Amino acid sequence: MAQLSYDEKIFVDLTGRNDWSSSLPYGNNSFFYPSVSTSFLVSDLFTLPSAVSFAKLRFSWAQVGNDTRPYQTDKYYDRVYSNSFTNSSTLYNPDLKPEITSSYEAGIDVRLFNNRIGIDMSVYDNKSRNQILAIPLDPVSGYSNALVNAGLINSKGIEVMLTGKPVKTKNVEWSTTLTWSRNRSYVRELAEGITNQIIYSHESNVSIEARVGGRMGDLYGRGFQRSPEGKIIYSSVGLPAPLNPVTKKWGNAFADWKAGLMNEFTIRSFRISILFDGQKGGSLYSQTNHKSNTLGKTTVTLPGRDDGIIGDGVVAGADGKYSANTIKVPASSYYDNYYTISNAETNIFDASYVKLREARVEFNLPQKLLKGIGITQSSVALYGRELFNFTDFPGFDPEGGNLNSGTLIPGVELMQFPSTRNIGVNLTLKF
Amino acid sequence: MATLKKTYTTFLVLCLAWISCTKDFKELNTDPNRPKEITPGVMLGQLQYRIVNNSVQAGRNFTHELMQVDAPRGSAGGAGLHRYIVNPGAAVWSSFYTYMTDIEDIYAISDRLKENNYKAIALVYRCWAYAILTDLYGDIPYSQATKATEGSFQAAFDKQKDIYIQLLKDLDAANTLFDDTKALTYGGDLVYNANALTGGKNLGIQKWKKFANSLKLRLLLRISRRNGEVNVHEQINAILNDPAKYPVFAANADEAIFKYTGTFPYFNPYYNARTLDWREGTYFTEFFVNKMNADNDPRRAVWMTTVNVNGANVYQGIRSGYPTSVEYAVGKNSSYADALKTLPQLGVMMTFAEVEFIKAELALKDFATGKTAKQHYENGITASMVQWGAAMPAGYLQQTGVAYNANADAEQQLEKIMLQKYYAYFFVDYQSWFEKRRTGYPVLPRGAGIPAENKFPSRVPYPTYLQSLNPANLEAAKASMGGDDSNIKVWWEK
Repeated sequence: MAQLSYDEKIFVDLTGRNDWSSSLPYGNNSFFYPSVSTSFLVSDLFTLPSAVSFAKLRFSWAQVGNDTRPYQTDKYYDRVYSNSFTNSSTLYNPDLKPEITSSYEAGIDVRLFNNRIGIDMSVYDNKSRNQILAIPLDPVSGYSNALVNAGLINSKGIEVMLTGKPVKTKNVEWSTTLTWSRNRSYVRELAEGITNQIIYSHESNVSIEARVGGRMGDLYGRGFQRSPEGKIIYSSVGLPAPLNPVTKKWGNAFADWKAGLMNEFTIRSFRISILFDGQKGGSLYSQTNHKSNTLGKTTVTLPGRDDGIIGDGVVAGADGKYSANTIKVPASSYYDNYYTISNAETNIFDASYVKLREARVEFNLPQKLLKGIGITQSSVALYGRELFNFTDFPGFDPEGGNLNSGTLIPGVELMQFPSTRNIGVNLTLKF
Repeated sequence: MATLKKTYTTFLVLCLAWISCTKDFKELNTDPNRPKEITPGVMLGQLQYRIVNNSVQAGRNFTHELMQVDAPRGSAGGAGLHRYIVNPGAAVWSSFYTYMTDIEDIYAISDRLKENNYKAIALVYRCWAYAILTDLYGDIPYSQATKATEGSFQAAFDKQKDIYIQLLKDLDAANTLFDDTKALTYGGDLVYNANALTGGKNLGIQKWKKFANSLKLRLLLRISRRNGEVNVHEQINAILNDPAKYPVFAANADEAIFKYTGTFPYFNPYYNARTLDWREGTYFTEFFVNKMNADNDPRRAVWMTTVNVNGANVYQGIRSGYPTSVEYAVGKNSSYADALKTLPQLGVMMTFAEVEFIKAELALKDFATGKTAKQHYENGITASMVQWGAAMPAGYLQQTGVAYNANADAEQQLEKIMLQKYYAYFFVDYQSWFEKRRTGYPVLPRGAGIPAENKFPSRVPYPTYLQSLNPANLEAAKASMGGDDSNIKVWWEK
């Protein structure tokens, strides 16, 4: 480990670290990971226009190694009850390797007009080699889970933060911060000879898969059978035919981009802050949608409620030709079928949203009033969190996911509670 | 200089500390709470218990609905086995393959320990389970399955014919391995209690041997249409002609039933089932109940609840395959009797009754079973009554509808046998469906709500996850089978 600096203008940090992990197999348990990070104070190195109050460039390359939880590298038997044992359903891995993530990052930090405007931007490219993943296995192999090294996952992204102080007077101050980020994780390689891995599956209804050439978070599942013209195929009793057994990709669990906007106003003794954030894109399987629509709890299921519904689709004739479906069925049957739990097509939605995440109004009591009673500062604030949610997502909350043995899985929402709106009053007294 | 030296020394000491430390890592990374090695005795019992629970539940959840034993009281979405719609993978695929790891392990450990009786028991379980799997799906992973520890995660599928040939060989091997002069050294057998000797003989192992051969008869009859490709008749005759070498079930005491003790942990899998799940969501069908009513079948009292109609307690069923608009009210028709939830003998794998019905069919087809088809048929019915603890009323076997007419044409006689076999298959995994596919019996009425294009299913489509995890082998299997839908006929049904 070393820190070097040149004239307080160029800084170079070097680290080297070796871990010996007891949770990895004996031959694979030592791993070294170095890092180099540099920063250049451009505003000190060169003479820049006076508008630029500060400029810094940074470049870094770093590796981070990781091991796993203990007892994963040998075969053990699990106790079923009293003196009865079975093979563990999780495959042990005597060849487990440490996971090493190598990342390049470049960034720029510029502040203009006496720090009134700031731009901080960074781009990165991470390569996770041998990422240790707990994944479902084909039970035909004799085990239903395994801890594996996942080949090569490549994440690229960009993060931007703009800060500004449009107004700054004695009594009024307005500062604003805009953040924006975008990340893409691609599956470059998986374990040898493997092209697809299931990361998570919700029974046989929907799964999140890593396929070589695809992205992390791709959602797969079944949908309607369709005619060559793309119409939904119906059975002869007027309901959509059984789902197409061939699974396909319906979206990706991760957002195209995320952004946040924070505004803060200080007007004399008042301080007001408002935070919006949101995301564009990202798909989410919604079990809430399945459940509420099959039970007829939503307005989506109003058409046909009184006198039945003729589904929009075609029926295959004996000659193999398709003709329009003409059979009217009760709405309850129709929606029960249309939104069945295993239909990924009708239960996966775009999860774009904008939320008024937080708003806060604070009033600082005048010092004069407080002096006499020994209080140095006092403020009273009204705040609210998760105030409004602007989205077309039909479930309660587009920020859905589910907990699967301690890991939060995005992309599959299993009837979670909506996030709760908090409204409160905050009183601060400092003595 | 002195300072520098000191630093180096410290550094060296640190290195040494590390080296000595990493030596202990192996021990440190050894789980103190779980064993690395076990005996077959501590694995066998839990396997027997869990695998039979699985097959019993498959019997109720899958076969009973498809075979019109029961039907849901409502199914508005248009799906359902009773409308001949089979979801991909909707059967014991995952669970059976997972249990296979224990079965293979028992085999491997007892092979090392030279414990032939455990080895043979493992073979019987493997054959019983693989036969069910291949009858469900057709071609399945077999020779390449359960090889994760060897680094193989994408198993090729074997052809059903090849699987059957090997299963028959394995059952022969088991028959030879069973040694009734030796107890199971490490105990653990909960089906036949072959853990100790009685008067120098292991009576439990004798029953295991009978199970192996009875199972072999089941398999041979299943593939009997393929006689010629496999020497089915020859193998059947070998069993029938040499009962000393190939003993089969000869009494109810022999049958392969896991008897639930009702004490922890061996409860009947339904012992704490909610009433809602147990008997308020599905009801027996008219088809199933009406025949039993006509015969005054005493098994009704064991299996079914009664309902009060016009002041009389009667057994009454609902339709199967009804239109989506139909919904039956709760509690107005007969459903599963609560006593079944704690019945010890619900854990059926293979029964004496089945063997008698197999022999009845063989006798009908002129095999030398030693008795007439009529005698085996009557024995089969009687055995089923005994198995369920139902007292057969006098004259039951002689009444119209039950009485066997040995002068009827062979097809009618077969239908008669198969109908009674169907009732004897109550809760026995998928067997009544397999037998319906093989023989066409019993003839089931077709409900008005079944779309005209839906055919009675011949198999279960493969689980969808295979498209992700084993796509190349799945495609090869589909090509070999001629498709993957539920209308594709498996090798023995073709």
